[in-house]
Amino acid sequence: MNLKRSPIVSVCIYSILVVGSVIMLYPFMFMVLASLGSNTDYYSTVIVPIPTQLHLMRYITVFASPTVYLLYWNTFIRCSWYIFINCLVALVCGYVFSKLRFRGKNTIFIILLATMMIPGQVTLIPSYLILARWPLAGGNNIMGAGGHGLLDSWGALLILNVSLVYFIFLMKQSMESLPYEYEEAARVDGANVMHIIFRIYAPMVKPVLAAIVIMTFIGVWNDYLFPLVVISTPTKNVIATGIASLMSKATASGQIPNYPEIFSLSTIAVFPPIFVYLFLQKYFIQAFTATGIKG
Amino acid sequence: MSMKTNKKGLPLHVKKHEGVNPLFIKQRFLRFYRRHRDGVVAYSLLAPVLIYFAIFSVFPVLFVIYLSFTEWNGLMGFPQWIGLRNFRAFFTDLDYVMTLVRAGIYGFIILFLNMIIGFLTALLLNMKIKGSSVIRTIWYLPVIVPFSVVAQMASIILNPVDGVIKNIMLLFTDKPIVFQQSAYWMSFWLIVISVWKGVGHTVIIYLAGLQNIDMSLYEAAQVDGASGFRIFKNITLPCLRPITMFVLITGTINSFLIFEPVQLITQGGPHGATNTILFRIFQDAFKNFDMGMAGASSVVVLIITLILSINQYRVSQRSIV
Repeated sequence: MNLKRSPIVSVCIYSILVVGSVIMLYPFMFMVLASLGSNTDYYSTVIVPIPTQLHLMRYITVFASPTVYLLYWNTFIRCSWYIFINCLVALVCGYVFSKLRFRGKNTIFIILLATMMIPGQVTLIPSYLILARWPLAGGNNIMGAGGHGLLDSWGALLILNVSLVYFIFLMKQSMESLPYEYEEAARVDGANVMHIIFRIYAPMVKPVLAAIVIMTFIGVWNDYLFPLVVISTPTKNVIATGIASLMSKATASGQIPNYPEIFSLSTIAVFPPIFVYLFLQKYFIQAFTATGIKG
Repeated sequence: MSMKTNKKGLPLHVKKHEGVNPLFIKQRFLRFYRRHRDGVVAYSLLAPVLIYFAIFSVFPVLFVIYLSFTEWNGLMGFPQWIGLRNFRAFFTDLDYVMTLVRAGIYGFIILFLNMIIGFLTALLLNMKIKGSSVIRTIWYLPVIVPFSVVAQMASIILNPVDGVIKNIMLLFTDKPIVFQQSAYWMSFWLIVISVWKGVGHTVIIYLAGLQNIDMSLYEAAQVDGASGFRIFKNITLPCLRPITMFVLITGTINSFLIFEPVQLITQGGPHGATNTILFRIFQDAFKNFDMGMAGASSVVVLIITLILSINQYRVSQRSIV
């Protein structure tokens, strides 16, 4: 709108937005400042703890502990696997549903879309039981009884919730707008299906792939409920559950809790997604406004 | 496509019918493949995906429906069929019904505040102010960080013994409020934290919607001498309607299934007064080992979410057309 604003209105708008932003940032500021100071600084907090001297080495000591860096390593492997498999499934299924013509296509696609309406939390218990009773794994016999199955193992961390149907849907939508001529030319030259998908179509849908990578990363990094249910050994834990349990353990023990350490734990859990966000902001906005899937 | 062949290079199974030209069968196979190439390729590519979805998406739903009619600890033995007893227990026990109602109330308040605050902030950010991208970035930060860590931090800050909020209250009064004893205060904090976590997402979506509105509509309205309020009411709001439906669809179920803050901040307390349905399912399944009851609650949640999403889908179809 080209309306001229009076300075008073401008000041009002700015002050509302700035106050809002300070509220949004407050926990982050609190966390970083508390992690840098000492415990005495924390106990004399009024609004945010003001560190009297900076303890930057604390981050290194916290991170060097095996219970913490293993969390990172596990989460990293988990993120990479889900990113790989989600991109793969989305590309292949997107191609199949958009470019190939075969009997039953629409029926299968509608069934897949219908599974999207079922929230993952509802199938939490059956999924857990399927993993626990997985035949011939973790001491189970062929009937799936006797052992703990895939629970508390990499299998449980890597098998659930592979490929959200939404990614397939997104990929199908964007592939449908691509021209068929490239594929035709490649077929004449004798290219096989894999070649067509990964050499011809994949480069053309890079923005969608970027969106899938980002959403998968954020989703897996923040995934809490499933790892909480299926993992019980601390060394097999992931960030979202591991850091939370370390934090609660540190506050629950009898002596005075070491608050700076607790907050440095939370800082190192929170900052990787923020860095990814700040560097890939352009794709982020695109990805999340296009789909509305929350991280 | 490669067939097993004998020494002469003819397909094995042809040997029995000497009269048939072996090449004819190969040709027929090739012709079938060429004619149905798309189908063969599609089904062989889709097969692993379909099997996966059958095991981990469709089967669990059927399994949870079966579980809801049984009694089972999930550890050993097999589920015992007990008919509708779980559902009867669910709807006659006030505890269960209240977890459901509470999740609905929390979900409604969280979504309502989310949309109001998100919409107003998006309106302000859209007023061509300097540094709007920085502010937008800041508002979006909470959305992408792990909710569990945030909730854990909140429970430390709200700690009744040495939490920071208590220190701040001590500056003003001698008797600080112990939030943990009051269901209203704990609900308040649950809602505040959930809104804090989710509002950035709404801002981004509304901002995208506002920026997509055709500027010529505003110009035409100004030429016609419409006032600012009337422009807002007759152009901005109708143009944002699809976006509002979208936020509603994605937001309702998300807010209804609130879990992390309940588990990490209140643990359903005091005395189960902030217990929500998902936390109850979690407790039933993994603390009380009552898979049948957890299954019954899951089925109730499933039915509610299905009704919500079908209804909202229909409403959204209507409003876009």
